[in-house]
Amino acid sequence: MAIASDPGWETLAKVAAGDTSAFAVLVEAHQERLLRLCERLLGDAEEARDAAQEVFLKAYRKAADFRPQGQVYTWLYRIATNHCLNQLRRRRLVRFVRWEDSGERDAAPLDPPDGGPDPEAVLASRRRWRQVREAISRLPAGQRAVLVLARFEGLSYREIAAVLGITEGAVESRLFRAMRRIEAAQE
Amino acid sequence: MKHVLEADEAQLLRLLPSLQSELTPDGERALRERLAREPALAAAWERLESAWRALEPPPAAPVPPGFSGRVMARVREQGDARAAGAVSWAAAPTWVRASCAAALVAGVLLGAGLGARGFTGMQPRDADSLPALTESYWALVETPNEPAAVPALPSTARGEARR
Repeated sequence: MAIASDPGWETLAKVAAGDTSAFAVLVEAHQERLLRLCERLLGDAEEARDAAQEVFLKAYRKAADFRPQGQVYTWLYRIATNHCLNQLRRRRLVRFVRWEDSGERDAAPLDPPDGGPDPEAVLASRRRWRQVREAISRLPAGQRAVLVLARFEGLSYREIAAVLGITEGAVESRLFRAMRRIEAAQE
Repeated sequence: MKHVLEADEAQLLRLLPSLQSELTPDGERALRERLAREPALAAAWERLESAWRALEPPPAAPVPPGFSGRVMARVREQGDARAAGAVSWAAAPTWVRASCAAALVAGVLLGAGLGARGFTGMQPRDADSLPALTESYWALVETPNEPAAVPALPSTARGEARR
């Protein structure tokens, strides 16, 4: 990972120096990515919007004690993943799992792209995706985070390890266990 | 069919499209050669690849209109509060929050410790100073069948008649 290679760190330095409006540049640059990550971790578009907003506020508060290292988005991903994992843990405490009970309300953004004009193929694709969603919802929070970062966000083991603060070996082990569960759910 | 070791299956993850960078070219070649030789490993690979494919990333929802404006409004609110010197618990650095939490826990533990010491220390002192009447009461409770422990009541005419 290149040290301080991201121009976003300069923007953060300005924010840390008191230039609040400089933060808008970061929000514009990363909002799509963070919203998508939060949505995929939480499985709910509405909750993801609130989460992403909180993540940006946390990033703003932490701007003062940032250490330029790697990419800004990795730093933002770390804040977002921790925030969403905490939210998932709290949600588990109150036995409220959106991934499982989200029916039609958030079906549209999470539906897979149409498999073609064949309605049967579309139906089959939706059925498969529902199964996958249910399997993801049953994964422990740590495994879900690794799976989302690897499969949906395309991060390498190294990047995931940096985001989650774990070793690359732990990343592989979590991903392996997550995939085992997904395979079992598809059988 | 030969059993596939967990470590070998975990290695297969590195053949997946977005994780190929985790393997060196030599490592990948070796793994593909093994796949051609070992049917059990090939079957595990097929299962894994199919599950990975089923996890097709769904299209992301578009950024809601006005999202960045709302974020910046809240950021400015916080910036203003900071500039005005307002103390916000959420804005406090982690070490400040951790110190406060530790002080609170220490206070509670200290209070609980002192309370417990005071309670156990009081028991023998109070027991020593109990009057004789209380002692006879405990004797009555502990040995209810012993008539000698029952304090003598002044006899009345009705009592005499009942006996």
